[in-house]
Amino acid sequence: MWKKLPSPGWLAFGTVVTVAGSGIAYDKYEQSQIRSLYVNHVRNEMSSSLSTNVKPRKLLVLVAPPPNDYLDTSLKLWRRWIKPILHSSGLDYEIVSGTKQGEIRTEIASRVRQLRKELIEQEQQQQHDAQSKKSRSWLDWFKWCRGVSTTPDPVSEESPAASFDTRSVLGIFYHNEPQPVVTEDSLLDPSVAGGVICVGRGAYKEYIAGVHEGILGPLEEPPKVVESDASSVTDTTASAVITENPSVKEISVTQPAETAVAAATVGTTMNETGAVNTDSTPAETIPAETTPTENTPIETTPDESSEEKEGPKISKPYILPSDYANASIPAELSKPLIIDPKTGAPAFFEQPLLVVAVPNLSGFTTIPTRIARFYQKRFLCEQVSHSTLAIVEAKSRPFTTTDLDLSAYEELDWPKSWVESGKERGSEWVQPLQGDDRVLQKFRVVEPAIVPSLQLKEDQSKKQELSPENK
Amino acid sequence: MFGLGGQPQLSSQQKLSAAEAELDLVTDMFNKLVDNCHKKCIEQIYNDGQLNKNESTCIDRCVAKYFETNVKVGENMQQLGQAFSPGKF
Repeated sequence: MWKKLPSPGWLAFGTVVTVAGSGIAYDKYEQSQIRSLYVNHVRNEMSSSLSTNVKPRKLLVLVAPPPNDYLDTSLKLWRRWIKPILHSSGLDYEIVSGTKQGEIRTEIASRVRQLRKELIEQEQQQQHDAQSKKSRSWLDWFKWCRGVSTTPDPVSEESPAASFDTRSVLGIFYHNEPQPVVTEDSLLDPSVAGGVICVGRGAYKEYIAGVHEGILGPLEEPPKVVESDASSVTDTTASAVITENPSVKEISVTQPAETAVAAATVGTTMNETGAVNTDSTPAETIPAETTPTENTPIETTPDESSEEKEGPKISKPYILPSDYANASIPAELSKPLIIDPKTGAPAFFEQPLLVVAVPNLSGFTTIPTRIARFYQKRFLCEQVSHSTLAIVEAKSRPFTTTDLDLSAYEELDWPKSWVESGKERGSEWVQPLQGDDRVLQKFRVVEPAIVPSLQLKEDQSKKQELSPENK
Repeated sequence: MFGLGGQPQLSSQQKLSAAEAELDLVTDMFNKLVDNCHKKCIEQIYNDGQLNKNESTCIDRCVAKYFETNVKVGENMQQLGQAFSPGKF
């Protein structure tokens, strides 16, 4: 083809490109092989039938970004290696993600508190029912003596709104009888029902802290100090500036003032429209004798307040880790197995827990390690897929205190400067993870070691085929 | 009667037509939802009379998303309608 070889420069360049490219291609190919291996293994589950009134087993997925990086880094791992397996195993999942520290903890803690409130309500309801049963029997007897019937009037009790159901109007129940909806988790054995996946060490830390806060902390928020005043202050300044500034007020048709009210009362969308309107005002107002310096506060403040409102609420922990030992387990959670009254499934913190590490390096000096890792992603893929298979098959064991260090090796990747600045600011992630034994004994952990690795099996079977004894 | 009874009758007629329009709207949305989610979620092979797990989760999500989007779009439209004044935009 060629009369002579290209110059050494080109040769070297070609070699480097080919080696680098084929390395990537090989790694990607292996990853897809591993993924299809696991996906095909669980595929039968997907096509198994499920009656229409049953909700499939549901996992809770918590995703936190690695330090100094975007949420997408963790989501990529979830999307590439965990989600396909869950999807093909016919499981339902709910993702809770947080971009800031404390979001997941707040969410988890509020869920636990909600659960506690529901449990208390349920207990009260039961007591009330039992009491009313007792008293009613007496009442019945009295009324029977006086010859009064106790059957309630059916017409007066039912309002038309209560009996109205859009579904029956649309004819959904024309051929089918309405059936009560049950979750599959409530039908399964409690040790294999549901599941929690924490993607990232940070998510795990927040999850543990959140559950502890929910269980050991008070039900209602302890009195707060400052925090919430900030937004109202900005609101008042916004309106104050507006009233000082009559020309702006004329043209912008009092929108900003409304924004302040809306921000205080209702919601974010109203806020946005207000912000848009105020954004357009400076262009109109500059000819009308107003200096830009006066305009700037109006332009910025509504945006800030809307951002504050838009961002998910992060509350201060109701209880600090140092107080765990002093707090007691509330009475409604003292049972060995806590059943969520809404779904009939075990409470989520009793479900098997899986922690997936997100190894992620950043910085200039780590580039060689990052390149090496980039070319060996298949091993991570195998590890993640394997542990996902374990949670799909719900192979779990009781929690031990050493499990607090699950995927703790991820912390070695965390940038040192980030950890230091976190320590200065009292960040939640950099503090050592603390747990209380009374709470931890409620947990279950997924143990991937119980499930045989499919890739290993595949490799062995291949080797056996190739070995000379078989031929 | 005598030019007085006409007004309330008309308004009840209006109410009726408004209710009809609303039912039309709901039915239309429902039909679209069924169409879309059927297309997206139900496999065309029909191996089984029952729904399988994947299909039911898919339908669950599809319906939830559809409703959520519908509500959000509706809210936004309403706000646009309220905030609308000629000469703006």
